[in-house]
Amino acid sequence: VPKRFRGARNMVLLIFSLIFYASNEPKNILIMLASIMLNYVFGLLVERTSRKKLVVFLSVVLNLSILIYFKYTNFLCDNISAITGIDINIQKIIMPVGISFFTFQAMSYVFDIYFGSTKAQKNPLNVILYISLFPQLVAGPIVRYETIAEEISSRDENERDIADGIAGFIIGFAKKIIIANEMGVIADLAFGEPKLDMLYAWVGIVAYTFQIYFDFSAYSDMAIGLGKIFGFHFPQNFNYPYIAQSITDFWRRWHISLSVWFRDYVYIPLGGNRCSRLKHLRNIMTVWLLTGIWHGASWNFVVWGLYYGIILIIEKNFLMGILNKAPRILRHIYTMLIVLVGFVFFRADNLTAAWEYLKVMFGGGVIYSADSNAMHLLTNNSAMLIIALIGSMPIIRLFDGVKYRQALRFGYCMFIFLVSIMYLTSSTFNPFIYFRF
Amino acid sequence: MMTNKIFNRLMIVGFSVIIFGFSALTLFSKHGELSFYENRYLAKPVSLTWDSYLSGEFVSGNEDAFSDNIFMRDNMLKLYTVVNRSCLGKNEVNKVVFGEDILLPYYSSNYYDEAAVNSDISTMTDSLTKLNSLVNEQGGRFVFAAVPAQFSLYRDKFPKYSCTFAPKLDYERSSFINGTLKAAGVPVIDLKTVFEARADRDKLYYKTDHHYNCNGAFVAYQSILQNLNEQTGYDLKILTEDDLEYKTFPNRFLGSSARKIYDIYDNDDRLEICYPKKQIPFKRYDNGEEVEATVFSLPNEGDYADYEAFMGGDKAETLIDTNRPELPTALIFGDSYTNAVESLLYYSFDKTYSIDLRYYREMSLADYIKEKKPDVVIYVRDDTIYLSSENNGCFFEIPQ
Repeated sequence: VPKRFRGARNMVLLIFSLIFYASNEPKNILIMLASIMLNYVFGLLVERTSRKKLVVFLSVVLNLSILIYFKYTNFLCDNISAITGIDINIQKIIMPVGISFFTFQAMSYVFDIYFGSTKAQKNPLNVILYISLFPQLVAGPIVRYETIAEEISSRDENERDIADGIAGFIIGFAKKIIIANEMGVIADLAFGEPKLDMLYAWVGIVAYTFQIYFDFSAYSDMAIGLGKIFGFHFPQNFNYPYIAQSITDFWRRWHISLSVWFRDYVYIPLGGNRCSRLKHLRNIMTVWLLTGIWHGASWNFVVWGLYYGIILIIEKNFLMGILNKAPRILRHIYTMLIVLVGFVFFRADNLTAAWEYLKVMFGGGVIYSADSNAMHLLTNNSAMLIIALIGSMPIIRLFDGVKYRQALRFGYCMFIFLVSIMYLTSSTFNPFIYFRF
Repeated sequence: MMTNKIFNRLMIVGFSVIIFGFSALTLFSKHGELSFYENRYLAKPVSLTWDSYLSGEFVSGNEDAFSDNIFMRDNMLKLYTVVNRSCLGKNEVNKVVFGEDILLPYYSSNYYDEAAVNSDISTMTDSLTKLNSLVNEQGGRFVFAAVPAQFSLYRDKFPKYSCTFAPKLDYERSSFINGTLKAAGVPVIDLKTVFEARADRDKLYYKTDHHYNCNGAFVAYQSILQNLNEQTGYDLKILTEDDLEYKTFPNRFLGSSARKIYDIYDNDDRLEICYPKKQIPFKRYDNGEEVEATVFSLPNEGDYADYEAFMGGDKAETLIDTNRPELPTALIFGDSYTNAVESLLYYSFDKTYSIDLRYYREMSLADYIKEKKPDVVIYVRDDTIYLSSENNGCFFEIPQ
């Protein structure tokens, strides 16, 4: 479609985005469309009515009701049953893929209109396109409406952006397929092991820490890359979080779009740090409680969120002063230790399992058993662990000033793309089990 | 600036060629039905119907079909194996461990729940005791030949840290084979002890397959017949090495472990068969149908050879009839470890029945014994699975 037919181009993107969602979620596409239309109407109402606060309040209630129903009903019922002893027998509710992301994007649309940073879209198709745009629909980043409002109606798709987008997509694809999936195998073995030793527990959590970064940031890279191919500039979502020097620094680098969302739409409206000390603490804990719950319907995520809330309060109040004077290596060790412990809650099946895992990590069991799988996993995957370690550091920036950077990037991208396809194919390797007998 | 422009264009072209090229070649190239190395059927495309679409089967099924039939899939899987072994220095790829001059399967489960294992031991001991009694009631004799799997016998050949299953297997062997079974009076042969005592231990199994070779099978055969002669007072003819002719095939041998790593491991494994110098005539029936009277399925020139050469692989039911009514009849059952033993066993019996309960669904083993009333019943199973009550561990009902 020629550039001048912007509406037609958007329509093509919209149709393919809906096909993309419908191909995996044929029944739930109606829920997503209903959610989008609801927010489209709220957007218009916020702009036109004098009772803006009420409309925003209603939009929050409705959006959260949808999210709570699909994501948290089973969790709530299980807990009510456990506390009261009443057996609440409800069918398992299937959560639409990406509901946390598209609900938050839809809410940001209404909020941005309310705060006056953007105008309501008259054309509902543009709102549907903004929320359902396929690159970021199911795994983020959470793109605020004001970020791409202008690009929906006028954007410039050019060769440079397309090439950059392809490079970003390939890098994300490789991170997911080559590193995250391989690390996931190790993490799954460790977290599935009924009797761990200390070494195995550490190998497992280090592998998981790499897995989650290379997995999540890979989806963001692919989304940002695909967005660029189509002329959209989504915000960066990860900025080498494992080189962070404190937890405050870590959260400036990890899932940036979510942190920014909570900062702008929860923390600051609650008063941020421009209030009493007690209210400030409340604001921080509220944000981190919500951050935890957003990640999943489980007590593990609640604890994980509150854990970070407490650590950030400690850092803000006195630890940061000490950290700033500490050697860089110590700051880094401290940060990664906190992150690794946090990810135990994130990965374990339940709080008891997390607690047991942490106990083994910190010496509450055997340090090393000769029967353990840990040394095998460590020696067998040493090269991949080193690749993961290097890949989590901004080594690539060393090439920024290099003369033939573009040529290098081209060669590197084509190479890792082919390697990724080879790894992707290997994931389908599935020998018939009766081979053994 | 100009250079940047060129490389931007190259990036777009290169990416498009790879992504659309692979897709087009996958869609338009001819696909086989079977994956040779994985020994399974490849997924087929799913037709678009309202039901298949709504259930998600259309998308997931076609994703499976696409990835199963992706252009140059076998080459890519082979390359993946080479990259992991040679570039990343892995000593375990696709669940196969590269040992010292040997390939061994990898088992990641290193810990075991003693209570669960004890429960399995108790269940299987009860089952085998009942089976032994049933065979005796029918006038026959029973023996259980417990075979070590290749990696169990050659555990010392694993690279450091990769052999993590030994405590579980040792516990099962001491508590079950040499513990509860013997205490219950079930005749059992611990072939691991037999094999370990031999000077030629390293020549009894393949280097690239989990089965024993014809030498190991011959030792197992001799041990089983000796046990039966001692138990029954029969004077069953036991073949010795002098009675046998050996033949080695030059074909490349494709063992189960070598197959999983796309045969990238250089080795000197070969198919060797042994058969009595003095042949006897017999008829063979597979699943009730008369088939060629042979106990080997030999490879053609240039083809891969594999363990399926013995008895032509796994069959639900086989009968070898030597028409010598003066001799007793035998029933042998178990997984594929039975096949190589069967290729010698028939020589000492009138009729030799063989059933594999993974495939045989006509009746239960107990009913089969009641119907055929064999004079001896031989159970062959390996130490990775002999506590399982499934398939060849399910004696009194038809396995599910």
